[in-house]
Amino acid sequence: MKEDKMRKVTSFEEFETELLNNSEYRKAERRVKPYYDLALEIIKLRASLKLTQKDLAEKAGTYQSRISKIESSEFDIRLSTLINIAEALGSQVQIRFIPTNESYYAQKENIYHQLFASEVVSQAGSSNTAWVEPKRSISMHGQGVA
Amino acid sequence: MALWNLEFFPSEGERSSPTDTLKRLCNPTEQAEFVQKFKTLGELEHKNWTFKWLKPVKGFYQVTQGNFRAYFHINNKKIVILHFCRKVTQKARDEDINISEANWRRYERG
Repeated sequence: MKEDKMRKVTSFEEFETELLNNSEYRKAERRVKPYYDLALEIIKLRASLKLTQKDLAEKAGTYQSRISKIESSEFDIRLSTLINIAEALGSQVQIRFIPTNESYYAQKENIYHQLFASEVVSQAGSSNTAWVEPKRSISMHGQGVA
Repeated sequence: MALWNLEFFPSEGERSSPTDTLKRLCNPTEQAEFVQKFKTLGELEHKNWTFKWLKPVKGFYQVTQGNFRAYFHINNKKIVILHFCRKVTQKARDEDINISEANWRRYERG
């Protein structure tokens, strides 16, 4: 910890938190993240079953190059292909729409503005407001897979 | 739970800081793509890093997103993002590798 401070690193979480304060970034993240979440889900399940991309492609009735593109988040997958891949991984697809985080950020910004508008200089650590991030969904559920 | 600890070096505000360059040059979509790529790497075992956007280059790893590249080094379950730049040529430029190397040496020195 002390070493890290000497090196003056910027932690990834710190950087991402800063980006998330920008509404345009949050909008972009909502469009991009599902592709990476899906890729991660497939890679983790495939690895746990000790399958290669070629094995999975054969079981799912598709091409290895397509699996590679899906795992690289570079392919807009069809729902039918996704169902086939899930089946090949001994899983099923579960779809869930969840509310965006915008109300959370709007509330946060509102309180921030209120604090400055009332010209109250708060003492450090005096705030007892706790922010709870909304839960995110998981897109695929494994069955009998560690 | 991430398997790798991700960090940027040099830090914000310092010369050749990758975070400064990423914020200055990229639009929000490109920023989100980079963030997601690094988070994906951070959650997987090294042997499962089989991505089209990732390749080893002269002792470093190169992550590509559109017209931009990021270079990082791994050490003790840490991913240290050392340099971020605009893609000028198809092949990685020696200049960018040199900056990554210099930053890595500084990081190692502490």
